[in-house]
Amino acid sequence: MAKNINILVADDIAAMRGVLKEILYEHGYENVTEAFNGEDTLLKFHLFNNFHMVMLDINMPIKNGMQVLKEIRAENPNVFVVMVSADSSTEIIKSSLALGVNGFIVKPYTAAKIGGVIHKFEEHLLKLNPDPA
Amino acid sequence: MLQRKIWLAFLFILTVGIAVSTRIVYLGDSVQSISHLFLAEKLPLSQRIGELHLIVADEERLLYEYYSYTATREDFLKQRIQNMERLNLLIKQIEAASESSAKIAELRARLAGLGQLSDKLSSTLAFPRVDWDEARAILAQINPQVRQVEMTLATITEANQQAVSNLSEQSHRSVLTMVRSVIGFSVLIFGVALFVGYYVITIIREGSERRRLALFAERDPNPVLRLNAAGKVLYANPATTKLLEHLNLSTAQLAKLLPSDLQQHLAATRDAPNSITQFEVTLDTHTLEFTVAHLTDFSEFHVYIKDVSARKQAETKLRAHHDELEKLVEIRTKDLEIARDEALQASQTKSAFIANVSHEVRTPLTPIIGFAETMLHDDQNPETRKGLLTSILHNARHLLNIINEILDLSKIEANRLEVEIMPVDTMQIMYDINAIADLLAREKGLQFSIKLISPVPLKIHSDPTRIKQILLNLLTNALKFTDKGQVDLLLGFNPLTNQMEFTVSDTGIGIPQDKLDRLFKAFSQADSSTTRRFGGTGLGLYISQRLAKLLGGDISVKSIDREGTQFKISIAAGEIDPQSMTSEIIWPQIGISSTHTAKLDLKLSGQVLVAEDSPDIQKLISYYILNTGAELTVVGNGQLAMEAALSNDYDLILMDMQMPVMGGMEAIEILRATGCSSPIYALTANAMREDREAYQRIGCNGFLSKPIELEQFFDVLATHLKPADAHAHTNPVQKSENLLRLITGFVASLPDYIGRLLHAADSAEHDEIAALAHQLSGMGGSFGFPEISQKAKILETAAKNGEYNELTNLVQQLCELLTKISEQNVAAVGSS
Repeated sequence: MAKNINILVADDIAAMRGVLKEILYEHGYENVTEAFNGEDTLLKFHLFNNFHMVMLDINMPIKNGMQVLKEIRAENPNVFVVMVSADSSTEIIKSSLALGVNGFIVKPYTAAKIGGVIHKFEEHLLKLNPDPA
Repeated sequence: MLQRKIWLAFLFILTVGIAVSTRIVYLGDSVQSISHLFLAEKLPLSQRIGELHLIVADEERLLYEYYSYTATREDFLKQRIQNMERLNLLIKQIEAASESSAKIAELRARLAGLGQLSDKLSSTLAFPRVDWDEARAILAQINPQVRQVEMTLATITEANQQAVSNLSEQSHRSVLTMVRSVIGFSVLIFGVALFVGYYVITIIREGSERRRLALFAERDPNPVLRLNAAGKVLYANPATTKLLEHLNLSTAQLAKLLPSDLQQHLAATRDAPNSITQFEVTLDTHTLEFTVAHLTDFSEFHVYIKDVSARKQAETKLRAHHDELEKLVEIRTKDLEIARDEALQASQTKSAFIANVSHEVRTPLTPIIGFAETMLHDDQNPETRKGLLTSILHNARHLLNIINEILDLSKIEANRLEVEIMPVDTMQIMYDINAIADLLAREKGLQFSIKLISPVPLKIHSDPTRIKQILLNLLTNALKFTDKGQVDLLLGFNPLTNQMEFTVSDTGIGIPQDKLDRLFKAFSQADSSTTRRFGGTGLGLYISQRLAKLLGGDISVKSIDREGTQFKISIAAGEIDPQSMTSEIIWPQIGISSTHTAKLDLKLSGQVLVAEDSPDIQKLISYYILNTGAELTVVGNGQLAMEAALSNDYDLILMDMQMPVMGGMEAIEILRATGCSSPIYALTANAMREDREAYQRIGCNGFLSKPIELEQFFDVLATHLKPADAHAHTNPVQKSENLLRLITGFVASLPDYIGRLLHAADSAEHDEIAALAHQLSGMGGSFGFPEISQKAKILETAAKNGEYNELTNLVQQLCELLTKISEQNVAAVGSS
């Protein structure tokens, strides 16, 4: 089941992408595409057009996570978007929630935190696709 | 008015007419004159005279022609004869036409003379020998004669013309006169006609009016009668006849209807001019109103009858209605008076209640505060202290009870009293109640027992809290009002009504019969002296009965003054299993005991986040949790709680629902929205169902009530925290092979970071420092180096806040740490 799920991970630091990819792999998700900045994220998102989840770092060059979130949401209300940020201030969280983000992870994160978000993602998938693939 | 005008107009016209018509007298003359004027001879008169002139002139000519041999004698004579004839005719005509006969006689004479001369002349001329000298002499005589004739003719003409002009003037005047006369006459005729017409019309109208008046009484739809002085009916109109027919009376009977005193009265008023009397006569089905007018000048009575039955009926109805309304008003007033009295009494009772409550609340507070103060200041031995603390605890519980009762009351008044139906272990309830009641009984030296009087189901469906509330209320009352003897709780089950039946019986002071019906009313105790002696808010029984009713049952009471009282409580049992009944009390296993000490010994490990703004409650909860050995983070508002929960992993989160800055609800909503899946429990003083449902809806796993119920509290802790012995060490990140590679990569990048940090610090590029610190803080913890994250965060904050003097130091510290880690891990990884 998890084999058909496509995830896009965006962060300008390779190591961070690596960690996320690793954690996702441990939860069974192998199809993870990486993006390096905001523009690249949008490009890849539109190009493949088949991502179930997008994980965005807020601090990225050439369009930050919030801008990418806004643009993605403008066209696709269903894709599961997770914001990753070192900032846990209420304003950021509230504005991302207002833009329609599905999950919020505060760096540094733990596997358990990611686990919680992935759990929510899986519930979200079930809702979209009631019968198990 | 109109009449007078017409009269005046008529008079005027008459006068004018008369004035004008007097000219008619002249009418005859005028007519004659006019006729004269239009005779054929008048106008041609001048013509005739003209002709006469010509003839005379012609005669002259003839003579000259003859004289001058121009004409023959025969012609001359012929013409002369013609002329003479014409002349005579003319003269005749002129004579006839002319008025001046004197002048015409003169003319004739002159013409005769002229004729003679002419004859003479002709005779002179006739002979073969003409006597020219004679002829000349005659001619000489003729000329003046002709001139004279001409003059006479002129005079006649003049007179004639004068006469003509006079006549025309006259006829002109006559025409005017005639016209005026015609007008006058016609006006006169018109006036007369008008007058006559008006008069005729008046007469006709009067006639018809009189006819109508004559029929006035005949046509009147109301009965009208004429009676003579003796009372005999002289005339009765058709309406009377109809009425009499309708009423089946005869005229005589009608007369008899007049009351006797009326007849006397009429007799008395005989001389009173035109008096009017009115009276009513009521027959079986009708009421008649008689109006009697006494016409003294005619010695007659006119009687007018009106059928006022309808009016009478309306009057009667109106009066009846009026009476009814009066009665209603009386009843209403009485009702209002009763309501007012009740309201007054309720108000009084409420005031008494408030005074009572105030007293009830202050009473336990006194020892609570007092003993607590005592314990602060004095040194007591442990036994005394224990006693004081027990009393404080006891009084605090009592106070809680009273407050709960008042809350229950306000819920009842707002119609918000609720019960929650769930499976209930009947034996457990009995056990719980027994624990409390037995203690209270022993304190007073009374006997207490719980007995079954019929088999009861082991499990029922009801609200256990409320059942306990009711039973404890009645039991505490029973124990309160009994000084010696026995208090029993009897259990039974009625399969016919599917109800549990509890009986609380005591051998106490009893309740007087007259107070029994007020027993379950709010704010009442048997009497106020009871309140003073025994305390209490007077609400317990009221609330208990309401609850019993909500639970599908009721409470009833039997009492014998000074001997004892029995309260019977029935509640619906709901769904039961008829197979699992018991005929004896089965106490639950001793193992399940809820003593505080057992709970306090509980040892757990894990991470707990508590969000609570009250410092005292913070202290309390911290004490309990830290005592188990678990790790605890305490925050004071929802925002901090949210930030903490997002940044860290907690095994359990306890969230107070009413906090400043950001409340519990909002924090939980945001946490769940961002994907936090830690267990969250709401700490709430609210036990209302809809609030609990709301907490569940936003994603709470459960709730803990305030004040803290230890059993519940430790249950929750035990559920989500692991026992202390288990390995509870979780790595931030599980170390798989790939991950190790990444960690290696990270460690390898540390020197680079160190270099860049130092360079940025030297060139005072604060933004660069902040950015580097930000990256390191994000990565450090993720790779298993939380200390890097910590230090990096501090550096980042300082750099952003511009604490430049701190920066160098912080950078130094961070670089030292990075160096240490780098050296450590490079050594560990070694050759890969």
